[in-house]
Amino acid sequence: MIFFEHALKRTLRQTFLVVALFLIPISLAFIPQASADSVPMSFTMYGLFILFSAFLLTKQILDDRIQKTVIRIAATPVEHKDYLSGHLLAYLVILVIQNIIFIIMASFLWSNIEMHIGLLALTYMIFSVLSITFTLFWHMLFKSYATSVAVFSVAANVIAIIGGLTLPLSMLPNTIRTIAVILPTYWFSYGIESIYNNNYGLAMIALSIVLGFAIIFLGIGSKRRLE
Amino acid sequence: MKTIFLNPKYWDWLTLSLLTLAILILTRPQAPAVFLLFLIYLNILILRLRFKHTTSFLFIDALLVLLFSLYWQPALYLLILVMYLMARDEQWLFTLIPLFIITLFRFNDIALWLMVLFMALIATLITLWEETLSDHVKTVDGLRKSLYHSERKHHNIIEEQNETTRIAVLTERDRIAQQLHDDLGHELTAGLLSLKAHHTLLKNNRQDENTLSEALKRIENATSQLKNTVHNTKPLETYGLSTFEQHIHRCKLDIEYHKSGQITQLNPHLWPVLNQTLKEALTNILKHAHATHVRVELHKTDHVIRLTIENDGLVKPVTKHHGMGLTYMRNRIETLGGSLSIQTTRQRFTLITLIPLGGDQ
Repeated sequence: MIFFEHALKRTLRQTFLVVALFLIPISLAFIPQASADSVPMSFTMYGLFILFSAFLLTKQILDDRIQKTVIRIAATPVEHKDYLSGHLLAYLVILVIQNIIFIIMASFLWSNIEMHIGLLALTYMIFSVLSITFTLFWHMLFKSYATSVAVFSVAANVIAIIGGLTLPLSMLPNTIRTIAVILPTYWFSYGIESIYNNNYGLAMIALSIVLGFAIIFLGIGSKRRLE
Repeated sequence: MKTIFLNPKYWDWLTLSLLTLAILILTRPQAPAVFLLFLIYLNILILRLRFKHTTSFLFIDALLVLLFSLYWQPALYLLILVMYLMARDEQWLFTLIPLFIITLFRFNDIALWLMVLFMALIATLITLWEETLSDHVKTVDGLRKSLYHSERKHHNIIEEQNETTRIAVLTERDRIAQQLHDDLGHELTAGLLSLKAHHTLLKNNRQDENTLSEALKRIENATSQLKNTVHNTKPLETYGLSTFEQHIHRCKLDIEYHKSGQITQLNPHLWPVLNQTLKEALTNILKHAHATHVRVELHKTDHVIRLTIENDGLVKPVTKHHGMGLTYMRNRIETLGGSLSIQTTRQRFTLITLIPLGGDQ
């Protein structure tokens, strides 16, 4: 609980970041549909925003590693899993608040579209979990924030385009769709589309796949690095 | 990054990632349900890698893959990953079961057999590498341990040497005290008693020449015995500072000698090292330096003894590999926790020996 509170306070102290995290979703909700019978682009593009938000939030864990705080913590009787779960839970809380803001705004703006709000909220929640675990894994690969952010800004955009976050899945060529199945963002967009088409069974499978990816990334990213 | 590539575990991750990617490309699990099952198996695989597992658990994995293959046959490719983990656990015999399943259902799949071969090769290489690495780690650990023990032994020997010196000094003091008491004490007491008797007689206005001459005789005896005792106690061979100074006086060079601090109080076990160092240095100067002037300075503080030997002779540049004499000299000094350094300028070659006294003074 100490780490959870600490991580929450540490994030909320960054006023600019908090304002951006809670205000940008409002503006994202305004992005229109690509075509009259497709999902509003705001629903999928918001996924990209979740990915970047998670990246900025989990930066603290990278900072702790670079500044050797993790080594100091390792010298105390505190377990690494307490440190990690406290931090990740705090980031999830922030992302869930962000999701709620977006869903309220989107349901107000897109009241003409019939979508299962609960399932949509669950999709965003699971994608938030994935984003946190993925960025945790990502930060584990790098020794400096500058390199991490430089590679991520390119990689995330590629993942977003191929995975159908910035382009509707229907517009993607079949070859790319074949490759895109290995990306969690593809299954996120797939889930959103399934909810839009009222195909809840497929949506649940897609969400399970996203969760499966999240567990894989957590499995690899949770490894403690002390160097 | 260097450590990552030197660790077999990271190569396990890399190999499994490559194999998974190859399986994904070859089998193309497009349908959501198939992909979900695929992902569930990958999750199990990562759990096996992240946490310690019993090899027999891998049979459960094989069974899961078999069940999965009933729904989607290309899932049998996942058996390669199961086999890799079995091989890395050095349970090659276990791999026969997944191999039998592959033979039974996909005997004609060349791509699958190639991947099995690749997997077997990599698993063998990494296992062999890990064994060699583990042997090296054990050797290094053993060397570290023996180094630690020899350092401890060395420390104990130095302590025992100091203790022996201390006991020798105490024994010698005891011997001298006993000799003074036995030889000198009795004569002085007898002389004192005679003087007291004479003093009493003088008080009573009586004079006795016998008591006075007796006292004189006793004191004369005591004086000659004192001389004998000192003569007998003094060691026949010189040691310590006198030997050190003898080396300087005997040397044919023009030596300017200075000493400062309470040198006579120096622990005796340091003298052999200082003498050897001086002898070696002076011999070197005579043999190689052709010096006209040598300056020897011995300076003692509360914590350190410093011997500086400086000459104006031929100055050779100092190389990393010194002669044997200098090496032995350095070893002797380092045994006592000291250091030997050489300073050279155009006109001077200076040898500085520094030995800590370590509070044993």
